[in-house]
Amino acid sequence: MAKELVEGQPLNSPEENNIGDIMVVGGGISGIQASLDLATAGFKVYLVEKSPTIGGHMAQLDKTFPTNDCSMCIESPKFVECSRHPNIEILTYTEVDKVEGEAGDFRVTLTRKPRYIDEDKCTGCTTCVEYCPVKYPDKFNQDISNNKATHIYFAQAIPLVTYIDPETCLYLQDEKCQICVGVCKNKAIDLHQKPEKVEIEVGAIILSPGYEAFDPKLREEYGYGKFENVVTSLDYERLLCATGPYEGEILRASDGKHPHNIAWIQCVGSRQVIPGGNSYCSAVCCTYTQKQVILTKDHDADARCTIFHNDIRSFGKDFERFYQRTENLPGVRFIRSYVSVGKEIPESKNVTIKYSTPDEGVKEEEFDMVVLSVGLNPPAGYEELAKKFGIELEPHGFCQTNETNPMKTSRPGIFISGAFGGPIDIPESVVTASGAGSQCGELLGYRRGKLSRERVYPPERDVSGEEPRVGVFVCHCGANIGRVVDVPSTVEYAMTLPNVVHAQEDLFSCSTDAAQQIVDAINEKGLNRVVVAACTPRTHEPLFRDTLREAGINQYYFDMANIREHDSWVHSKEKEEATQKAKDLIRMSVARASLLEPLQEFDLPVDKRALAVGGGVAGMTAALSIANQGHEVHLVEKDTDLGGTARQLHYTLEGLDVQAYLRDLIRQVYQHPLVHVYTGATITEATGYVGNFTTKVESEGRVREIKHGAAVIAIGADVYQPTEYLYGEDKRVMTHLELEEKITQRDESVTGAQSLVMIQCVGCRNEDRNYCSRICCQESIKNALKLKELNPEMDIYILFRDIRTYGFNEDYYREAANKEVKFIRYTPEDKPQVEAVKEGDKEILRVTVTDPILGKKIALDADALALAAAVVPSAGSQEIARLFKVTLSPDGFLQEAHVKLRPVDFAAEGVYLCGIAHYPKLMSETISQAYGAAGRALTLLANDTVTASGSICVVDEGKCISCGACISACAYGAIEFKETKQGKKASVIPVLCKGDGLCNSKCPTGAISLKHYTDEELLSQIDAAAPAPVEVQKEKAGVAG
Amino acid sequence: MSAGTEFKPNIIGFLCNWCCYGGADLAGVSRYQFPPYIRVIRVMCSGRVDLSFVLRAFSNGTDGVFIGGCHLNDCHYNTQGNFDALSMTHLAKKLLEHAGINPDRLRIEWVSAGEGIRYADIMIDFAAQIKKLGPLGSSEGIDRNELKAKLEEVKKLVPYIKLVKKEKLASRLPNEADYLKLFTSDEVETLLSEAPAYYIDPDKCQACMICARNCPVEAIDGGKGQIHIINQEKCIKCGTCLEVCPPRFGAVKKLAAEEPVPPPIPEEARIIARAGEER
Amino acid sequence: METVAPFKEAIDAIKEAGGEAYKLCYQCGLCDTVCPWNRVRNFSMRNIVRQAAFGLPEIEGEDIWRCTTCGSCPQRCPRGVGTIDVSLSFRRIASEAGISPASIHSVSASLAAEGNPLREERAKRADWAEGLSVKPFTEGMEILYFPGCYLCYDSRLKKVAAATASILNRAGVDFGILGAKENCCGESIRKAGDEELFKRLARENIKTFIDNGVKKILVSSPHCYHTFKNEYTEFRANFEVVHISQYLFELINEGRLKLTEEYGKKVTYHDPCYLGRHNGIYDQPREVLKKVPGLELVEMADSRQDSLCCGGGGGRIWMDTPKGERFSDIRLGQAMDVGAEVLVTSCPYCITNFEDSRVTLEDSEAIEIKDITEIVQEAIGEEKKPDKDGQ
Repeated sequence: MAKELVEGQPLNSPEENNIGDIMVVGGGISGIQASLDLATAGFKVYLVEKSPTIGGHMAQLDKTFPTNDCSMCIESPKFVECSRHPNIEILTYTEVDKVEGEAGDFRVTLTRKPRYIDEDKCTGCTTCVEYCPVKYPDKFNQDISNNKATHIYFAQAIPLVTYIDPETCLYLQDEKCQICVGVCKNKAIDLHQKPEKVEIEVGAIILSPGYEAFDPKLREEYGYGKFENVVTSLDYERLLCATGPYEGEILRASDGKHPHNIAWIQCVGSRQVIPGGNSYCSAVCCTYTQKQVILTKDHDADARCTIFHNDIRSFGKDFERFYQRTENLPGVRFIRSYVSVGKEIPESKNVTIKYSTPDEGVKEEEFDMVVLSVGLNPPAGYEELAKKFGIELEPHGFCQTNETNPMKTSRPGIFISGAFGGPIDIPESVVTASGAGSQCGELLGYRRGKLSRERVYPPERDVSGEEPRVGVFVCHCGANIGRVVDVPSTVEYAMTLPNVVHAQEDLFSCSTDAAQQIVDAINEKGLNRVVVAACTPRTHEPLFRDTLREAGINQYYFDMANIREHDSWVHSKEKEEATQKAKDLIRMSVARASLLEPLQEFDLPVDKRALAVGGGVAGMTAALSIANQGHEVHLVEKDTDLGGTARQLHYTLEGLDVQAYLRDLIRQVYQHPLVHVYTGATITEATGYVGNFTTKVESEGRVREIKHGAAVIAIGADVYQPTEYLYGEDKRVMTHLELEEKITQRDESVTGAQSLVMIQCVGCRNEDRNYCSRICCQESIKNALKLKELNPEMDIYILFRDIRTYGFNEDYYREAANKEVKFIRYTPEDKPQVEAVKEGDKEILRVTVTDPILGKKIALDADALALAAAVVPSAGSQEIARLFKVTLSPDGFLQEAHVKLRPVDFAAEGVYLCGIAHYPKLMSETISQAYGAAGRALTLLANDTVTASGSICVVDEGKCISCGACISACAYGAIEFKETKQGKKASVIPVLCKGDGLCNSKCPTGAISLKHYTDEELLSQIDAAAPAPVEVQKEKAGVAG
Repeated sequence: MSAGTEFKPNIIGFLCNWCCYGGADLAGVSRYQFPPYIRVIRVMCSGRVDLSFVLRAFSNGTDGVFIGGCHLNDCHYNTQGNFDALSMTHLAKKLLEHAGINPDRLRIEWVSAGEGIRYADIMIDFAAQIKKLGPLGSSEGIDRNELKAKLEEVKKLVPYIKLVKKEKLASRLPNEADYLKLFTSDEVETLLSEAPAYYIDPDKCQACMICARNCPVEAIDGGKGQIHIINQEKCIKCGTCLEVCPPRFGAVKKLAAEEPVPPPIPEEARIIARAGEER
Repeated sequence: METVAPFKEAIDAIKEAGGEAYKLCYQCGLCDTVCPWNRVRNFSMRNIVRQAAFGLPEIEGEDIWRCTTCGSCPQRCPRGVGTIDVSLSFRRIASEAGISPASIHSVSASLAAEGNPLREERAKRADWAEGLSVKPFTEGMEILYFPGCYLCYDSRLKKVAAATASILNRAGVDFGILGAKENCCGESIRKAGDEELFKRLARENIKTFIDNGVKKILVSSPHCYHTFKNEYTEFRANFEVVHISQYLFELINEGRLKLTEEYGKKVTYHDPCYLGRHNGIYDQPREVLKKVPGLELVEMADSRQDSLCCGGGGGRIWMDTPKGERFSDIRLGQAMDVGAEVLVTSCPYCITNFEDSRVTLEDSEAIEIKDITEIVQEAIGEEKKPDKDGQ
């Protein structure tokens, strides 16, 4: 029973008729996101994963860039969400055998591999693991440490049950040993389990098989597997991780000592056309390496870190700052050279690396440890996968998709998400997941909601009569908290606090088993209040509230003490102080918790219409995808025509005719009965809240009031107007977009040029705009290739700082080089010089740049000069941000709710973002994000109601003196006077109350109060925080400890 | 070294959930280090921070109070609560001055959810500032209990202050600097010194219970046939009793600050003798 | 800092001379890190390739003559740049401009006049074979043995030729030699930039082969092997070419050779660049050695694909390399580091360089240098006359 609560529906329980809407193949972060979106949007989802748990590669990562969030901490709540979602059925340790039928009606045959464990009986108590005599390398820990033949894949695994490895189990090998069977109290072990065939029917399929890390053994020169202290970056993630082979200590395999001098080798298996290598760039390695360096310095401040690379590709949002942050750490060197691994020093087992310098020749250095930044390969067995699902692959072995729809495979009804489309990072995997979801929604709209189920919670226990009985759960968060805060002593201390009847520590309070322990503690110890001391409530409160509901306690009987973001992470050097602070924060939470009251949430109707702000590719794509799922969309464009930035684009690297595509898109928009277009429009006012917005749009001289439940912000971006390199002074100097325009018009001044120079990074990667505009390298190479096609004789020079042709675009970089486009690297300290000079009677632009290899200045005589001008935030972004109450990033782009896992959501509910308003990106990426935003919007619009918080205001009429202070304070008009026999009294309209509590602090008599943030509750925290008692408590704790 | 003797300030922070708390989270995520003195209380909006919270914190002996909200005009709520927080803060500063506390011990700042570094910088700066001021009272040269007493005095008047300064506290001024001038010291001094008292004339009171029933804080003793007495300890000076007392009785009087409130008449004397009843 | 402009004509000339490969380079520097020169002095192939990109070849300098064409860098280059072709194109331009090193000049002269680089008379080319019952090649013979210049004239390497001949005879191979009609294969002079001379030598050889009805050619030098197999094809000439180390492997497997005598020594094998990296022959020579009774085969550092060049390729065999910059010195050290008593290889240049290095050792007896044939010869022992009654 208890287990079932945590697990949601028991896996393929008998009442299942094996009919679903969508099958998601692959339980990594992308598959998880797709499943959650679709399930929330009213579809029944089968989530099929071949390994014993969902989680994928992200679960193996220690932290995630560029925020260095603890990877497991942000992913595992989603595991729990999946496992608890009534519309998701998780089938782990399951392979797909056969896919028959067609879009709307697929018949899929699955094989559930034998776990040799009865999932429904196993409680995850791990007794069998203790007794199992067989040890074998732990795959989750990259085979660095050992695990037992029977074990749970990792602490947060879903389902949280063991499985037995048939290769190593003594019984399954040669019928020796059945110890586990004997020790299992629940008789959950069944060594005679056989593979089980399951047939399911679904309407659509999403493939999220992820990627396979490049295996450096394929190129023996790296010495991987030969030299003990050469590890891959994935190995290193595990070494860094608190749940890793050495509990978060970075140790050398050779002698178990801490390495202090570590080298990273970039592009291992990437950007190489030698046998076994991949020609493309894996896109993630540069930044994950920087992350690993930062974390290494966290572990060991004196560590020396050296990164060998040939370009640093910080092309993502905030990556450039992250790169600088890494580079500025003491003892960190970025060296621009590919290297060869030299020898292993017999005595020390250190490894030497040879690298090349332009001026001092080749150097050989010794390192304690060498990390190979391995790239991303297509998923294992991709050919077979493609055959099974009947889809095409592109030449590198990833899925063949369409530039105008990166989630669409060659087979209708089958979509992909995540890295199967090519090497991408986590946010993009999440975006494509939501995007693929949206397209499933377009396909299966007619059956939405037919199979979906409501989630049932046990009846709520009425504890109003009881004395407060508080349970305190203190989280180690692996080592994130535990390394700084003395968790055990805080637990002891918590026990000494009034009303606390239970306190314990958890490795990860957010893990399923921890959740189970909370439930158990509530039931067994009769807790009626819960305090979790862990990370920030902004991300984790919903999860724990849900746990309380599972245990039949009102979810508002919960409070969180933030001892990670607000303590261990910001006071990591002052362990004692941090521990004291943790105790204080817990004391405050406990005081507050004791006063908390049960609150009821209520459902608000959701307006089924959507608003899309911005009529570019992003806005239009999102609008169409939403409209195709049966929702009216109002599309607002400030310009007189639709199209946005794409109007200035004519072709892509892959060769798409952008204008033709755009014309077709615009036609679809205008022809769609559910899309209403407003051009030349401005938004004058935006009010309301999730599910119920009202936006005033002024166009053609009249103001319309649009009511909508969701809004997609896709306001695009602008191009920097250069002030450098004679731009504006000399007509031969133009931006890359202007060049593209001229090329398209076959303007002789460029197509007929003998020599053309391009300068990259104009107006960004500097103090004013400290970010990379991401698209410029591809834009310039695209133009260069086009010019070479039109005029092969033309000399084209591209002056760059780093070429950032990430992913498959690397192939075009090589192609351009092969077509004799010459690339010259420059540094910000020594920028190219441009002057207009007269050679005899010939006017030319002379561009002088230093070539670092030749150590000479190269003077280039150009007929035309194209500047790769930065992409800058749209002029209107601040106004839009103000209107819709959304935030902007430091660079002025729209700030998503969470960089990794909520890339198209805003913190403000019901508002979503996409396109280059979020950050510069290629058109294909914009399209993915637009579908993603649509997918997210549908998770709201597909439902009739949205649940409103119970934390709203109430009036104690007896205390109201009808002074009206509250009424004037509430801009939502949620308070009004109503006549009573005691005269007019203030009263609250719950639906309109947003719970800011302004009225509460305005009221002189305390007649109106904000539930969950009452004066009493907040004052109790203030008092608990008071200095005096702290001293006393210190004594107490001292005694207790 | 001198950990024993070193002064470790005790600071309470009220952070709004949407901006400043997010900024604080980001500071953590980015590992920006700052002194471990602040104890954060999360509120949905900085506008929720009540005048009495600030006074309570200081009367508890807290060395510094920090309020963090969204940047002006960026408030997550249409109510623009951060403006109210601002006016409240400036009033509070005056009140602290009145109580003899250095107003710098109270600080309000705007930090967006994207400004982790800014949050850390502010924390470093404020910690240094409070350290310089020393323990509450030390720089002011007042002893704790005296401070506490003074603050309790002011705290009692909070409802009255809220009422009288209702409009000002809700004001929206074009630019932030204007708020510095919103409340003047003299204004606050007079406000406090002129706080009236309410008194029921035993001779006029008809024990009709109307005032007692309407008093928001049940500060009026006395039941049917018993002369009502205003409990000055409980009274918040809202004047409701004066408003509701039937004009034909006119029993409730508003006494100016300087007028002393007559002592309540003894229990036994409170029984009302109505005309026509024999003794 | 010097300011220069790209020199278009030079770029075209470089392409003309086959150096177009520079295009793909993205200056990662990997070539420099694997180049043997950077173990003894600074030398940057990356720089040379970059010079080509802008048409600024420093043909007066020494550097363009350094590359031994060992093939290490192209083998690793992530962008697939044919680095050797680039430096070769420089040498061609240089020699056409008549600014190649003096030593190369005299070699060219000797090759042009006598068909060998060693200033020996063409007529003496077959002298090594005197008294070894080696027949001149005639049409119909199973195989043409092409010893190459060094085995014909060099006193040390004549022993190798002799050993080869006696092994072939023992195996009953029907073979012959061209003697004075044999010309230098031209491989190395081509790498030294004298393309014209190479073409001439090649054409003459091809003509001789055809005139004499040659089908299958056995060579002792990997350089001959390489040029016959991979470069003569440019003249649309295709002969079956086999290197002695492969052929020995064949003969032994077919049972035509019996290795009977003990060779109780610790031996290490050096992969010649043109046998290994350039033609992928790593295993047959090792297999042959493993079949020698009592022989213990050990591997040095930098073996197989990573084999350290002896320094003799690319015409370097004719250029003087100062002491302290000789790769062969390092190589001997590596051999002795693994305790080898004998350093075996299968290339005349390697043997020449190794012998030179050996004599400069403090104890020149510390290690022997042998060609694989010399070891096999010892292993097959003296010819035993069969008993009269054939038992």
